[in-house]
Amino acid sequence: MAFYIRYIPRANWLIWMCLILFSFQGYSQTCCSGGVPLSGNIGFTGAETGTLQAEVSYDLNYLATLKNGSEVYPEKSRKRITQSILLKSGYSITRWLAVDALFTYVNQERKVSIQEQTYRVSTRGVGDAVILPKFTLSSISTNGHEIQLGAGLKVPLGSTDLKDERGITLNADLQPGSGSWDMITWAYFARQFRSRPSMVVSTRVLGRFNGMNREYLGSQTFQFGRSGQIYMSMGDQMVIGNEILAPSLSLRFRYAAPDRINEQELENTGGRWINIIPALSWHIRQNTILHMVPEIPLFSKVNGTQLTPTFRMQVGIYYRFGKRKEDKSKIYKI
Amino acid sequence: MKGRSIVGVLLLVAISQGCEKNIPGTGSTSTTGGSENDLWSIPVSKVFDGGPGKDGIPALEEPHFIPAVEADYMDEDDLVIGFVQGDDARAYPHRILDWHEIINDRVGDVNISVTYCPLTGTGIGWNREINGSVTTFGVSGLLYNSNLIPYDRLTGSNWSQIMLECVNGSLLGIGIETFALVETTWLTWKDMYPSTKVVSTETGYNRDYGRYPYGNYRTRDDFLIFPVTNEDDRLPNKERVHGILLPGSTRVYPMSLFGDGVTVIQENIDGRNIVVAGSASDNFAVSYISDPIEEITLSFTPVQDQYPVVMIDQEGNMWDLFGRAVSGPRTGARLEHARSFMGYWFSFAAFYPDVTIYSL
Repeated sequence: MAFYIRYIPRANWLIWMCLILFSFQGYSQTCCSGGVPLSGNIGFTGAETGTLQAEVSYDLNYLATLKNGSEVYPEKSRKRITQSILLKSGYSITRWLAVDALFTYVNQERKVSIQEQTYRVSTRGVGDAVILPKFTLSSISTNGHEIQLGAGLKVPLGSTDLKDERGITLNADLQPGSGSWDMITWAYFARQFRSRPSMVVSTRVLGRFNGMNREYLGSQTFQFGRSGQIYMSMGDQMVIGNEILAPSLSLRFRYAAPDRINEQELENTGGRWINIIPALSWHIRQNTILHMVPEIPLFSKVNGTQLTPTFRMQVGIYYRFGKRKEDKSKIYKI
Repeated sequence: MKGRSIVGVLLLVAISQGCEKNIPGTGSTSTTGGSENDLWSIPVSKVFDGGPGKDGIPALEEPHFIPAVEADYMDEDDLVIGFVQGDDARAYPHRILDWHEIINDRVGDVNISVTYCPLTGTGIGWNREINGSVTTFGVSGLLYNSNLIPYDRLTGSNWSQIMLECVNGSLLGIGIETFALVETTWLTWKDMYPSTKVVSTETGYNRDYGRYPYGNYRTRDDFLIFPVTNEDDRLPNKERVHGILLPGSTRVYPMSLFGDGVTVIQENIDGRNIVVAGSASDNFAVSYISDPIEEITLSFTPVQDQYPVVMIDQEGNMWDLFGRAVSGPRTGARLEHARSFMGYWFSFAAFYPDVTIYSL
């Protein structure tokens, strides 16, 4: 099997997306890091005017690690599993202005196993959505580096008052929605290597300023902790046989403030996390890309004692509507 | 290219399998391992899921005890819940109970569950023997009026800690027998019972017992994590009171009303003679029913500095914290334990809106 590296003398729009959009995926989470991935999944990179991009992903967040601060406890009796279907789309209104939207469907499960009994509660339903207008200040296709800024809203479409089969209202952690309008800020910086244009380094910075659910449990207020994330990524492309693959490696730093009930901080919520994300994208067609994005915790220091992610995995398929063809002449073998 | 298409289709199928079928926009839930009886004696709309889930807060089963002198993890002003059976004195610290809420123990021939709700501050001793069968209690993960709902493992029935009865399940409506417990500081308890044992931190679970897991909850009167059905501002929400539940009436005695030494209060409530003994400085309050014995109504006066004796009657009987006559002509007699316990004021007001407050 021959190995090739594609050299791209000039930035190629499609390859760029392959590198950036799928390799550098990330997540944002709610109170105990078990929530629906929203802000980290928003933000396609720039495209030509009139381009419509779409992506469907399956996201698994598996929490079985009990930590106190940065200490891992050996106890394995509790698990939280969040599975999400993410439908993301983006439309480039002009070369400099685009709007992305993210819709979610969520299945959350809580398991407790003790004394040979397992108790399981799960909820599922439409989750919250995100709308993100963003501006391209500099395009990599013209300048060799890209700068994008965006600010959007998380729209509370998801239920916040789901009950179990007995009619008992479930905790905020298990609700598909948060019940609040949140502001999301998004910034993206990327630069390609002159000597190796297929290689890109990038940074993404996200802020989530959560609003308040004023109808929590009927009469309470609840606010998920505000959070910030930084992704530092590097990606490249290679050819194995006839397949175009785009591996990447990202570090994700995340901080989340404690959740608040009635404006009082809740113990055992919030913290700091550093994860590593070795991702792989597979360019299966001209406009179609598969991606697989595992996420492995490197370090975390949670507030108090809480379950924290053991691993995450996202797989998805991206499609770009349009007829632009890849320029085969720009491919170089080594 | 065909192979790639197949992969794409398989991926979509995998994704669709991950999505459980449901009607978008409504949401739904499923539960396994809960009680199968849907009938509740309390409004189920006011019962809330606390977050950790059933047994997510693990109750302790017959934990390891250590002598007081080995309990380096305890501070003198830490609150403990004490129980005495014969010569066996045991302390169940809030430091442990904050994380486990229920300790199923056996003291002599007594099967006791020490139930403690950190959100209402209520610690109550329950008899684990119900209808002739011995059970253990676990934490259901549910709350009513912000108060612990234990469940019994024999039947799966759910119980209200403060109401002292089964509120859901096959034992619905059955009351629980309680044991007299004393909540006080570790310093006072050790002083009263120097040979006491105390629950070890070697519980089988890793928990940070040196840390209170609810932040500033104890001290913020405006901080309730779950809604309650009745709020009452006659006292600050988190004021610790000693409450007595009688048929048809509930009365509380704020800890702040007791003096530095032992104070004894005698009252007739709904035809029952009640005696309450407490000390603000030593941080305890206990209460007993002292109905006339052979037409003699005992009259109590406080005894200072002779713990665990706290009062003496007109016959010269000395009575200890647990209502036992330890000297005098009635030595060995025992006052009937009032259904009483310590707790935050708001919790009594939530369950018993007609609660009355003792004032000097």
